[in-house]
Amino acid sequence: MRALVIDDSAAMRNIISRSLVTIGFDVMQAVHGRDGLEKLKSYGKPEVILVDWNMPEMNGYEFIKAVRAIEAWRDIPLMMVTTETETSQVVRALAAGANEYLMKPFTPEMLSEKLAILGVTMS
Amino acid sequence: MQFLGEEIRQTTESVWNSILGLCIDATEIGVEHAARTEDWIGCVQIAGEWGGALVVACPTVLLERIASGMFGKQANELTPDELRDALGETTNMVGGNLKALLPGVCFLSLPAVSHGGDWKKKVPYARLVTILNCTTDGVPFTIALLEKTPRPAQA
Repeated sequence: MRALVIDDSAAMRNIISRSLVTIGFDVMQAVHGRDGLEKLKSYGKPEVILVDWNMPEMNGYEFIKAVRAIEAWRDIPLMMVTTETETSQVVRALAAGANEYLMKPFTPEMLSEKLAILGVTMS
Repeated sequence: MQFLGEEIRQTTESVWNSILGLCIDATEIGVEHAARTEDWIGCVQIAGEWGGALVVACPTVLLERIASGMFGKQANELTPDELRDALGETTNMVGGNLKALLPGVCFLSLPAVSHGGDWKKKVPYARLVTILNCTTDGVPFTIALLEKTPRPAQA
């Protein structure tokens, strides 16, 4: 199974990727939303996308809207992983097409639980 | 009078414990900055109905521990870019969680990180409203919340 991790912080991409690799995922990384779209075009659909909100070039909210606008990508499970903790922002992200929402800071266990909710765990 | 001091302490502890795998062993909440060496400064600006900035300032030895945990590398393998990235994301997480507690709708800038200098000069036209003088394994670091003040009128 493949996951696409999109975050402008290399440290955060590393933390998320380590957790995903531990539970058996192959991980692609992108540094902002536009890079994420390029990765999707180049390498095809992953089993799950984890995307940050605040990024340069294209933020996570814009990325979600762009992904959901393409028929072939509408069913990819998509989780926002962000410090945007206000309820209004969660509602915006879900309305735009996110399937789950994980607030930073988080533990590996919290990430695994959210993946399980999305139905994309390995076991 | 300090503002949101306890909330900033709880947010900082949560980031330190869950993401960095570190403990904060002492915290003093106030409005006075303890004199100390802080080589690195992370800053996120807050704009909207409440304007200001959140600063995380720490010595190199602590930032190396933070970045080592985040990147899974030994301290001597870390690049300056990785140190900057680790402090930027740490500052972003504390600032992002704090933003939700501020009055009205607010927006957070992308984090800026600098090496050296005086963090009080990083945010012009602002006053210090809350400061946390903290230690991790005896190494001190600072979390500061500054509120924007009106610019002086042009002559």
